[in-house]
Amino acid sequence: MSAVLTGAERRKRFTNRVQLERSLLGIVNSGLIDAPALSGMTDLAISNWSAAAAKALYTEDVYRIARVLLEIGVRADLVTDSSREVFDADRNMVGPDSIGELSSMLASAVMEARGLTSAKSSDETV
Amino acid sequence: MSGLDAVYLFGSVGRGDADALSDLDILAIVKDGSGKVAEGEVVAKVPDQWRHLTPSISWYGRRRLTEMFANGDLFAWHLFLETIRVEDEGNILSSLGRPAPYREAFADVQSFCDILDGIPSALAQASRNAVYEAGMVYVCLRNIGMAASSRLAAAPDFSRYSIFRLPDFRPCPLPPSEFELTMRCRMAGRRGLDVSDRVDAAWVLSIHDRIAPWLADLMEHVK
Repeated sequence: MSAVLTGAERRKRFTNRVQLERSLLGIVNSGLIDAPALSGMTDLAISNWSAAAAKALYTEDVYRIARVLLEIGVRADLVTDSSREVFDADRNMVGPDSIGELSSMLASAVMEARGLTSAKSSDETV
Repeated sequence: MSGLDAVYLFGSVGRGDADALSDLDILAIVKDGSGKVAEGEVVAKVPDQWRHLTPSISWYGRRRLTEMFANGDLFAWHLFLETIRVEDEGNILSSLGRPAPYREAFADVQSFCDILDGIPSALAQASRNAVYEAGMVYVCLRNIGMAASSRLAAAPDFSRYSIFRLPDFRPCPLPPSEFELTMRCRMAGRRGLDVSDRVDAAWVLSIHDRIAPWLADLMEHVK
Protein backbone atom coordinates (compact mmCIF):
# COMPACT_ATOMS: atom_id res chain seq x y z
CA MET A 1 0.00 0.00 0.00
CA SER A 2 1.31 3.44 -0.85
CA ALA A 3 2.35 5.63 2.05
CA VAL A 4 0.19 8.61 2.83
CA LEU A 5 2.09 11.71 1.85
CA THR A 6 2.07 14.51 4.39
CA GLY A 7 1.67 18.11 3.31
CA ALA A 8 5.25 18.82 4.32
CA GLU A 9 6.54 15.95 2.20
CA ARG A 10 4.46 17.09 -0.75
CA ARG A 11 5.81 20.62 -0.51
CA LYS A 12 9.38 19.40 -0.12
CA ARG A 13 9.06 17.25 -3.22
CA PHE A 14 7.83 20.13 -5.31
CA THR A 15 10.59 22.41 -4.03
CA ASN A 16 13.20 19.79 -4.86
CA ARG A 17 11.73 19.35 -8.30
CA VAL A 18 11.96 23.08 -9.00
CA GLN A 19 15.56 23.11 -7.79
CA LEU A 20 16.40 20.22 -10.10
CA GLU A 21 14.70 21.83 -13.09
CA ARG A 22 16.48 25.13 -12.43
CA SER A 23 19.80 23.34 -12.29
CA LEU A 24 19.26 21.28 -15.44
CA LEU A 25 17.96 24.18 -17.51
CA GLY A 26 20.85 26.29 -16.26
CA ILE A 27 23.36 23.72 -17.50
CA VAL A 28 21.84 23.81 -20.97
CA ASN A 29 21.03 27.51 -21.23
CA SER A 30 24.23 28.84 -19.70
CA GLY A 31 26.37 26.34 -21.56
CA LEU A 32 24.88 26.78 -25.00
CA ILE A 33 24.41 30.49 -25.44
CA ASP A 34 24.23 30.21 -29.23
CA ALA A 35 21.21 27.94 -29.01
CA PRO A 36 17.68 29.04 -28.13
CA ALA A 37 16.84 28.71 -24.44
CA LEU A 38 15.25 25.52 -23.16
CA SER A 39 12.27 26.45 -21.03
CA GLY A 40 11.01 23.16 -19.63
CA MET A 41 11.69 19.48 -19.10
CA THR A 42 8.68 17.90 -20.77
CA ASP A 43 9.07 15.80 -23.88
CA LEU A 44 7.29 18.45 -25.95
CA ALA A 45 9.51 21.25 -24.69
CA ILE A 46 12.65 19.18 -25.28
CA SER A 47 11.46 18.14 -28.73
CA ASN A 48 10.74 21.70 -29.84
CA TRP A 49 13.99 22.94 -28.34
CA SER A 50 15.89 20.24 -30.24
CA ALA A 51 14.41 21.32 -33.55
CA ALA A 52 15.36 24.95 -32.94
CA ALA A 53 18.78 24.18 -31.46
CA ALA A 54 19.71 22.02 -34.44
CA LYS A 55 19.87 25.22 -36.48
CA ALA A 56 22.69 26.53 -34.29
CA LEU A 57 24.49 23.37 -33.19
CA TYR A 58 25.53 20.10 -34.73
CA THR A 59 22.47 17.94 -35.07
CA GLU A 60 24.13 14.91 -33.51
CA ASP A 61 25.08 16.99 -30.46
CA VAL A 62 21.57 18.27 -30.07
CA TYR A 63 20.18 14.76 -30.28
CA ARG A 64 22.68 13.55 -27.69
CA ILE A 65 21.69 16.33 -25.30
CA ALA A 66 18.01 15.74 -25.99
CA ARG A 67 18.38 12.04 -25.22
CA VAL A 68 20.03 12.85 -21.91
CA LEU A 69 17.35 15.40 -21.10
CA LEU A 70 14.58 12.92 -21.87
CA GLU A 71 16.31 10.25 -19.81
CA ILE A 72 16.57 12.68 -16.91
CA GLY A 73 12.95 13.70 -17.38
CA VAL A 74 11.82 10.11 -17.09
CA ARG A 75 14.12 9.16 -14.24
CA ALA A 76 13.34 12.27 -12.22
CA ASP A 77 9.67 12.08 -13.18
CA LEU A 78 9.61 15.65 -14.42
CA VAL A 79 7.19 14.89 -17.22
CA THR A 80 3.93 15.49 -15.41
CA ASP A 81 0.60 16.41 -16.83
CA SER A 82 -0.18 20.08 -16.56
CA SER A 83 -3.23 19.68 -14.37
CA ARG A 84 -1.61 17.90 -11.49
CA GLU A 85 1.43 20.11 -11.41
CA VAL A 86 -0.83 23.05 -10.70
CA PHE A 87 -1.92 21.25 -7.58
CA ASP A 88 1.61 20.37 -6.60
CA ALA A 89 0.80 16.69 -6.73
CA ASP A 90 3.04 14.13 -5.19
CA ARG A 91 5.63 12.83 -7.56
CA ASN A 92 8.51 10.46 -7.18
CA MET A 93 11.51 12.39 -6.03
CA VAL A 94 14.87 11.43 -7.40
CA GLY A 95 17.60 10.99 -4.78
CA PRO A 96 20.55 13.35 -4.34
CA ASP A 97 22.99 10.83 -5.79
CA SER A 98 20.92 10.44 -8.92
CA ILE A 99 20.59 14.20 -9.29
CA GLY A 100 24.35 14.54 -9.28
CA GLU A 101 24.77 11.70 -11.71
CA LEU A 102 22.12 13.01 -14.09
CA SER A 103 23.48 16.53 -13.96
CA SER A 104 26.97 15.27 -14.72
CA MET A 105 25.68 13.36 -17.72
CA LEU A 106 24.00 16.49 -19.03
CA ALA A 107 27.00 18.73 -18.34
CA SER A 108 29.22 16.32 -20.25
CA ALA A 109 26.92 16.33 -23.25
CA VAL A 110 26.75 20.13 -23.21
CA MET A 111 30.53 20.45 -22.89
CA GLU A 112 30.97 18.12 -25.82
CA ALA A 113 28.57 20.18 -27.87
CA ARG A 114 30.40 23.37 -26.96
CA GLY A 115 33.69 21.93 -28.16
CA LEU A 116 32.23 20.79 -31.43
CA THR A 117 30.36 24.05 -31.81
CA SER A 118 33.71 25.85 -31.77
CA ALA A 119 35.01 23.45 -34.36
CA LYS A 120 31.95 24.04 -36.50
CA SER A 121 32.47 27.80 -36.30
CA SER A 122 36.10 27.37 -37.31
CA ASP A 123 35.11 25.18 -40.22
CA GLU A 124 32.64 27.72 -41.43
CA THR A 125 35.23 30.50 -41.45
CA VAL A 126 37.61 28.53 -43.67
CA MET B 1 -10.54 -6.71 -18.91
CA SER B 2 -9.78 -3.01 -18.71
CA GLY B 3 -8.27 -1.53 -15.57
CA LEU B 4 -10.24 1.67 -16.11
CA ASP B 5 -12.94 2.18 -13.48
CA ALA B 6 -14.13 5.73 -14.03
CA VAL B 7 -13.61 8.87 -16.10
CA TYR B 8 -14.33 12.46 -15.06
CA LEU B 9 -13.56 15.87 -16.50
CA PHE B 10 -12.20 18.52 -14.18
CA GLY B 11 -10.26 21.79 -14.44
CA SER B 12 -11.72 24.60 -16.51
CA VAL B 13 -14.12 22.26 -18.31
CA GLY B 14 -15.43 20.97 -15.00
CA ARG B 15 -15.78 24.55 -13.83
CA GLY B 16 -17.47 25.65 -17.04
CA ASP B 17 -14.98 28.37 -17.98
CA ALA B 18 -12.80 26.64 -20.57
CA ASP B 19 -11.23 28.85 -23.22
CA ALA B 20 -8.81 28.51 -26.11
CA LEU B 21 -5.89 28.09 -23.74
CA SER B 22 -7.52 25.31 -21.74
CA ASP B 23 -6.50 21.70 -21.68
CA LEU B 24 -9.07 18.98 -21.33
CA ASP B 25 -8.28 17.77 -17.82
CA ILE B 26 -9.37 14.16 -17.46
CA LEU B 27 -9.39 12.15 -14.26
CA ALA B 28 -8.91 8.46 -15.02
CA ILE B 29 -9.58 6.23 -12.03
CA VAL B 30 -7.89 2.89 -12.50
CA LYS B 31 -7.99 -0.27 -10.46
CA ASP B 32 -5.48 -0.19 -7.60
CA GLY B 33 -2.19 -1.65 -8.73
CA SER B 34 -3.20 -2.00 -12.37
CA GLY B 35 -1.34 1.06 -13.66
CA LYS B 36 -2.38 3.14 -16.64
CA VAL B 37 -4.49 1.94 -19.53
CA ALA B 38 -4.11 3.12 -23.13
CA GLU B 39 -4.80 6.85 -23.31
CA GLY B 40 -7.03 6.25 -26.33
CA GLU B 41 -9.35 4.17 -24.19
CA VAL B 42 -9.87 7.11 -21.86
CA VAL B 43 -10.14 9.80 -24.52
CA ALA B 44 -12.65 7.71 -26.48
CA LYS B 45 -15.12 8.15 -23.62
CA VAL B 46 -14.99 11.96 -23.78
CA PRO B 47 -18.14 13.52 -25.27
CA ASP B 48 -17.68 15.12 -28.69
CA GLN B 49 -18.21 18.66 -27.44
CA TRP B 50 -14.81 18.61 -25.68
CA ARG B 51 -12.83 16.53 -28.14
CA HIS B 52 -11.21 19.62 -29.70
CA LEU B 53 -9.28 20.34 -26.51
CA THR B 54 -5.88 18.78 -25.85
CA PRO B 55 -6.34 15.95 -23.35
CA SER B 56 -4.28 15.89 -20.17
CA ILE B 57 -4.96 12.75 -18.18
CA SER B 58 -4.41 12.42 -14.44
CA TRP B 59 -4.24 8.78 -13.32
CA TYR B 60 -5.34 7.76 -9.86
CA GLY B 61 -6.25 4.55 -8.09
CA ARG B 62 -9.17 4.42 -5.72
CA ARG B 63 -6.88 3.93 -2.75
CA ARG B 64 -4.87 7.08 -3.48
CA LEU B 65 -8.03 9.11 -4.01
CA THR B 66 -9.38 7.85 -0.71
CA GLU B 67 -6.19 9.03 1.01
CA MET B 68 -6.41 12.43 -0.64
CA PHE B 69 -10.01 12.90 0.45
CA ALA B 70 -9.14 11.78 3.99
CA ASN B 71 -6.20 14.23 4.07
CA GLY B 72 -8.30 17.12 2.82
CA ASP B 73 -5.94 17.70 -0.14
CA LEU B 74 -6.79 20.73 -2.22
CA PHE B 75 -6.97 18.53 -5.31
CA ALA B 76 -9.59 16.40 -3.54
CA TRP B 77 -11.65 19.52 -2.97
CA HIS B 78 -11.29 20.43 -6.61
CA LEU B 79 -12.56 17.01 -7.64
CA PHE B 80 -15.38 17.24 -5.12
CA LEU B 81 -16.51 20.66 -6.30
CA GLU B 82 -15.73 20.85 -10.01
CA THR B 83 -16.00 17.65 -11.99
CA ILE B 84 -18.18 16.41 -14.80
CA ARG B 85 -18.95 12.73 -14.65
CA VAL B 86 -18.28 10.87 -17.88
CA GLU B 87 -18.37 7.30 -16.66
CA ASP B 88 -18.37 5.85 -13.16
CA GLU B 89 -20.54 2.77 -12.85
CA GLY B 90 -19.23 2.08 -9.37
CA ASN B 91 -19.92 5.62 -8.15
CA ILE B 92 -16.36 5.76 -6.89
CA LEU B 93 -16.01 9.51 -6.60
CA SER B 94 -19.34 10.08 -4.91
CA SER B 95 -18.63 7.22 -2.51
CA LEU B 96 -15.65 9.16 -1.18
CA GLY B 97 -17.99 11.81 0.18
CA ARG B 98 -16.88 15.26 1.25
CA PRO B 99 -13.12 15.74 1.71
CA ALA B 100 -11.74 16.48 5.14
CA PRO B 101 -11.08 20.17 5.79
CA TYR B 102 -8.10 21.60 3.95
CA ARG B 103 -5.73 22.75 6.70
CA GLU B 104 -2.53 23.41 4.78
CA ALA B 105 -3.36 26.80 3.28
CA PHE B 106 -0.77 28.86 5.13
CA ALA B 107 1.99 26.27 4.73
CA ASP B 108 1.20 25.94 1.03
CA VAL B 109 1.19 29.70 0.49
CA GLN B 110 4.48 30.00 2.35
CA SER B 111 6.04 27.19 0.33
CA PHE B 112 5.17 28.81 -2.99
CA CYS B 113 6.34 32.20 -1.72
CA ASP B 114 9.66 30.56 -0.87
CA ILE B 115 9.97 29.33 -4.44
CA LEU B 116 9.24 32.83 -5.72
CA ASP B 117 11.85 34.22 -3.34
CA GLY B 118 14.39 31.99 -5.04
CA ILE B 119 13.90 33.65 -8.42
CA PRO B 120 16.52 36.45 -8.05
CA SER B 121 19.30 34.05 -7.13
CA ALA B 122 18.17 31.54 -9.75
CA LEU B 123 18.31 34.20 -12.46
CA ALA B 124 21.66 35.45 -11.18
CA GLN B 125 23.01 31.98 -11.84
CA ALA B 126 21.21 31.40 -15.13
CA SER B 127 19.68 34.51 -16.67
CA ARG B 128 18.65 32.55 -19.78
CA ASN B 129 16.20 30.58 -17.62
CA ALA B 130 13.92 33.62 -17.72
CA VAL B 131 11.03 31.87 -19.46
CA TYR B 132 11.14 29.01 -16.95
CA GLU B 133 11.24 31.41 -14.01
CA ALA B 134 8.37 33.44 -15.45
CA GLY B 135 6.44 30.19 -15.71
CA MET B 136 7.18 29.51 -12.06
CA VAL B 137 5.65 32.89 -11.23
CA TYR B 138 2.44 31.64 -12.83
CA VAL B 139 2.52 28.25 -11.09
CA CYS B 140 3.18 29.83 -7.72
CA LEU B 141 0.60 32.61 -8.04
CA ARG B 142 -1.97 30.10 -9.29
CA ASN B 143 -1.39 27.80 -6.33
CA ILE B 144 -1.21 30.68 -3.86
CA GLY B 145 -4.52 31.98 -5.20
CA MET B 146 -6.19 28.62 -4.75
CA ALA B 147 -4.77 28.03 -1.28
CA ALA B 148 -5.42 31.55 -0.02
CA SER B 149 -8.96 31.59 -1.39
CA SER B 150 -9.75 28.53 0.70
CA ARG B 151 -9.07 30.66 3.78
CA LEU B 152 -10.44 33.98 2.63
CA ALA B 153 -13.49 33.00 0.57
CA ALA B 154 -16.53 30.90 1.25
CA ALA B 155 -15.19 28.21 -1.06
CA PRO B 156 -11.81 27.67 -2.72
CA ASP B 157 -11.42 29.37 -6.07
CA PHE B 158 -9.68 27.05 -8.50
CA SER B 159 -9.90 29.35 -11.50
CA ARG B 160 -6.85 30.59 -13.39
CA TYR B 161 -7.39 34.10 -12.05
CA SER B 162 -8.06 33.27 -8.41
CA ILE B 163 -5.08 35.39 -7.32
CA PHE B 164 -7.01 38.45 -8.53
CA ARG B 165 -10.23 37.53 -6.74
CA LEU B 166 -9.19 37.20 -3.12
CA PRO B 167 -11.88 38.79 -0.99
CA ASP B 168 -11.09 41.34 1.70
CA PHE B 169 -7.55 41.83 0.50
CA ARG B 170 -6.05 44.46 -1.77
CA PRO B 171 -5.65 43.50 -5.44
CA CYS B 172 -2.60 41.69 -6.69
CA PRO B 173 -0.26 44.37 -8.10
CA LEU B 174 0.60 42.35 -11.21
CA PRO B 175 -1.48 43.48 -14.23
CA PRO B 176 -3.51 40.61 -15.72
CA SER B 177 -1.72 41.12 -19.05
CA GLU B 178 1.62 40.33 -17.43
CA PHE B 179 0.09 37.44 -15.50
CA GLU B 180 -1.14 36.04 -18.80
CA LEU B 181 2.35 36.34 -20.24
CA THR B 182 3.70 34.32 -17.32
CA MET B 183 1.02 31.75 -18.11
CA ARG B 184 2.24 31.58 -21.71
CA CYS B 185 5.76 31.10 -20.37
CA ARG B 186 4.52 28.13 -18.37
CA MET B 187 2.89 26.75 -21.47
CA ALA B 188 6.16 27.27 -23.33
CA GLY B 189 7.85 25.17 -20.69
CA ARG B 190 5.18 22.48 -20.68
CA ARG B 191 4.19 22.26 -24.31
CA GLY B 192 7.18 23.74 -26.08
CA LEU B 193 5.22 26.72 -27.38
CA ASP B 194 6.92 29.90 -28.54
CA VAL B 195 6.79 32.88 -26.25
CA SER B 196 7.22 36.60 -26.67
CA ASP B 197 10.64 38.23 -26.98
CA ARG B 198 9.55 40.52 -24.14
CA VAL B 199 10.50 37.84 -21.66
CA ASP B 200 13.91 38.38 -20.12
CA ALA B 201 15.50 38.23 -16.69
CA ALA B 202 14.91 41.92 -16.00
CA TRP B 203 11.19 41.58 -16.59
CA VAL B 204 10.90 38.51 -14.37
CA LEU B 205 12.86 40.25 -11.63
CA SER B 206 10.59 43.29 -11.89
CA ILE B 207 7.59 41.02 -11.37
CA HIS B 208 9.25 39.48 -8.34
CA ASP B 209 10.00 42.89 -6.87
CA ARG B 210 6.45 44.12 -7.39
CA ILE B 211 4.65 41.11 -5.93
CA ALA B 212 7.01 40.24 -3.06
CA PRO B 213 5.69 42.88 -0.59
CA TRP B 214 2.10 42.02 -1.51
CA LEU B 215 2.73 38.32 -0.96
CA ALA B 216 4.37 39.00 2.41
CA ASP B 217 1.23 40.84 3.50
CA LEU B 218 -0.97 38.08 2.09
CA MET B 219 0.89 35.48 4.13
CA GLU B 220 0.22 37.45 7.29
CA HIS B 221 -3.42 37.74 6.25
CA VAL B 222 -3.79 34.02 5.64
CA LYS B 223 -1.93 32.98 8.79
